[in-house]
Amino acid sequence: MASRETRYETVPTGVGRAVTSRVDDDDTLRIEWPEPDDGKILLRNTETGEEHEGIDLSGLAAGTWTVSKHGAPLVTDDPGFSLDGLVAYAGRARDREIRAVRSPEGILHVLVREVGPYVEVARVCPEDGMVGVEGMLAYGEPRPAARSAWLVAVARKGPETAGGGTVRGRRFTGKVPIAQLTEGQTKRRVFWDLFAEIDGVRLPLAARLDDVTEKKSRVRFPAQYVGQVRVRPYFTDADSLAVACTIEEKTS
Amino acid sequence: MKISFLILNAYGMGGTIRATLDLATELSVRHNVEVISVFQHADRPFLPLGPKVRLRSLVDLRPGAKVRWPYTKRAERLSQEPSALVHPEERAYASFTAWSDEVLRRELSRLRTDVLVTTRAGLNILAARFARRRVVTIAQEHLHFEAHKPGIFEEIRQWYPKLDAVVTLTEADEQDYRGMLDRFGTGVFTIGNGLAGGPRPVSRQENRIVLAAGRLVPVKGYDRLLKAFAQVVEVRPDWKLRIYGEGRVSDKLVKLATKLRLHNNVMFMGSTGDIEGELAKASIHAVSSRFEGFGMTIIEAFACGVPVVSFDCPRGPREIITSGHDGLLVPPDDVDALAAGLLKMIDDEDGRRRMAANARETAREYAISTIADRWEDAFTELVG
Repeated sequence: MASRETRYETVPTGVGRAVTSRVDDDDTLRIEWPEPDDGKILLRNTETGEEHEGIDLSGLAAGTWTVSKHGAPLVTDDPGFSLDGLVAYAGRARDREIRAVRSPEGILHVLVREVGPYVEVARVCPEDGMVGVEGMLAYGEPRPAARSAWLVAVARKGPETAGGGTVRGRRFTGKVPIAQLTEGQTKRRVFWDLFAEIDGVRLPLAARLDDVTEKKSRVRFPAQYVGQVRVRPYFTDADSLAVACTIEEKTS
Repeated sequence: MKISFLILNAYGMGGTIRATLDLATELSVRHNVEVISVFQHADRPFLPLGPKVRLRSLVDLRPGAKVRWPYTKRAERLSQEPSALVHPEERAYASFTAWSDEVLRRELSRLRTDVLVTTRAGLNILAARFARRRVVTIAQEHLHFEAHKPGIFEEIRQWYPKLDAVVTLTEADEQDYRGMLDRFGTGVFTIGNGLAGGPRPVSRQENRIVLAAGRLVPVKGYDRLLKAFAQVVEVRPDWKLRIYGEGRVSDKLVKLATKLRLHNNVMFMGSTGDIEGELAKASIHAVSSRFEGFGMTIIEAFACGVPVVSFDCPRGPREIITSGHDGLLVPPDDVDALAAGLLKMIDDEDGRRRMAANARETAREYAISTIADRWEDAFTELVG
C-alpha cells in the first residue's frame, strides 16, 4: 500500500514482520514469524558499525544494535516491553542487560547496557513520619532466607543515617524516619540519596525497568513535614530514589 | 486534481493535525496535494507527512523570522493587534492577529486549487467569505454542533451556506448540520478520521497498564479518571495509569493525583511522537472526556489491540465503540461507573483478550485508504 511507503519511508515492505521479538533469560534473541523464515539475523552496532551474526547475544558489547534480515531492517509488531518479563530477567546476577525494543519506526533494536546489582523500586511510601521503600533485587544474587537489611540515606556532601529493613528472596523493604533526615538542618535544601544495604553492601535504589525515563518530572510523591522542613522523595535525573528536605520560607 | 488543506498549525501535535496530515499523505498518491499551515513555530512538522505533499506556512512564528520587504513594518504592527476577521469565540482566537487576517485574506483570494479543505470553524468561515468562486470549498467540523458559542454560531449560520460542503466526524453531527444547510444546497457528509497504514505494534495484554492520551485540558475529564483510578488501585494496587499529553491543567492534575495518593500508580508522561508504541505497551485505553468530537485515539488503540473503557459522552465514542464487543461504554460523568468499568476490564482477562481481537477488526473500518476513498467520492460529486 502506498501510504505505507510514504509514512514509513525507512521501513521496506515485502519483508515478513516479526510478531514476537524478545530476549530470553539466556540472552538468546527469540523472534517468531507468522510463517517459517530461515534468513540469517544480523546485528549492527549503530555507533561502531561492529556486526554480530546470529541470535546468541551473550557477550554483546554495550550500545544500540539494529537488527536486520535478508539485508533489510527487521520490522516487528512486538511493542518490546513486558514489565514482568524484565523483572524476571533481572532475577539473577548479570553484568549486562540485553533488551529487544521496537523503535518508533517499527524496527527491532537490541539495547545492551552494563549493569550491576541494585534494587528496582516498586513502591515508595511517604507516610506516618517515614519514607518507606519496597523493591526487588535486580541483577544480584537473591537471598533465600529472610534477613535484616538497612535503608541508608546519604546526604550529598553530608552525613548519613539509616532505618531498618528486610530482604527475603528478591524482595526488599525498608523505612527511614524523616525526623532523622531533618534533624539539625540549617541549609535551605538538603538532598539525601537512598540505598539498600544488604550484607554490608550498598545497592542503589532506582526504577529502571518500567521503560519510563525522566521520572523526575513524571512522578510526584506527597510531601511530609517536620516543623518547617518539607520532606519529599523524588526520582533523580538517573531515575534513582532520593529525598529532598527543604526549609519552607515563613509566609505571614 | 489539486487539493489544498488549510490548517491552523501543521507543525504541532493533536488529533486534527494528525488526521489532516495522514489524509493529505494518502491523497497525494493520486493527487497534487498541499497543506497550508496558517502558523509555523517549528522547522519541521512533529507528525509524519508524506514526501509528495507540499507543506507551506503563512505566518512564521519562529524566533528571528522576518517578513519580507515591503511588509516588514506592517507585519510587526499588525501582529500586535487582535484579529478582526476571526470571531472572538473561535477557540483558537488568541492565535490569530490582524496580520494573520491580512495574510489569510490575501491567500484565499489568490489561491488557485480545485478543492480547498478547511479544518476548523474560523478557517471555514474565512473560506466561505474569501475563497475564489471556482474553488470547491469543503469545511471540516471537528467540533460538536452545540459546542460552538452563540456568537460564532451566528457566523456559521450566516456563512456556511456559501460553502460547497461540510464534512462532519459523526453521524449525529451530520444530522445537525443537515437541518441547518439542506435548503441551501450545501452538501453534508460524515467522514471519520482515518488511520494510516504501516507496521503497527500490537499489545500482548501482558502489562498492567491503563493508558489515557490527550491534551491536559478540562474537557478530557482527567480529574474524574484520577478519582476513578484511585478506586481501581484499592482493589488492584499493581495496576498503573499512564497519562500522555500536556496542557494547562497539568499542575492541577499532578496535585490531585498526589492528594489521591496515586504516586505509585500514576505517571504524567508528557507528549510522545509514538503514541501507538506506547498504546501497545498498555492493556486498556481509558477515555474520560466530557465531550469527544471523534476520538482518534480510540481508533489508534483499537488498531494496536487495546480495548477501550470510555464514558458514553457525546459524540464519537458511542459511534466507534460497541460496548461489550471491543470496549466498554459507561454512563457519562459517573466516576464510580468508570472505576467499575475499568475493574471489569482488568479482571476479565479472557474477555479483554477477545475484545482486543475484535478491536483490531473494528479499526479496519477506519483505514486511511477507506477514508480517502470516501473523500474522493465527495470531491467527485462536488467538482462534477
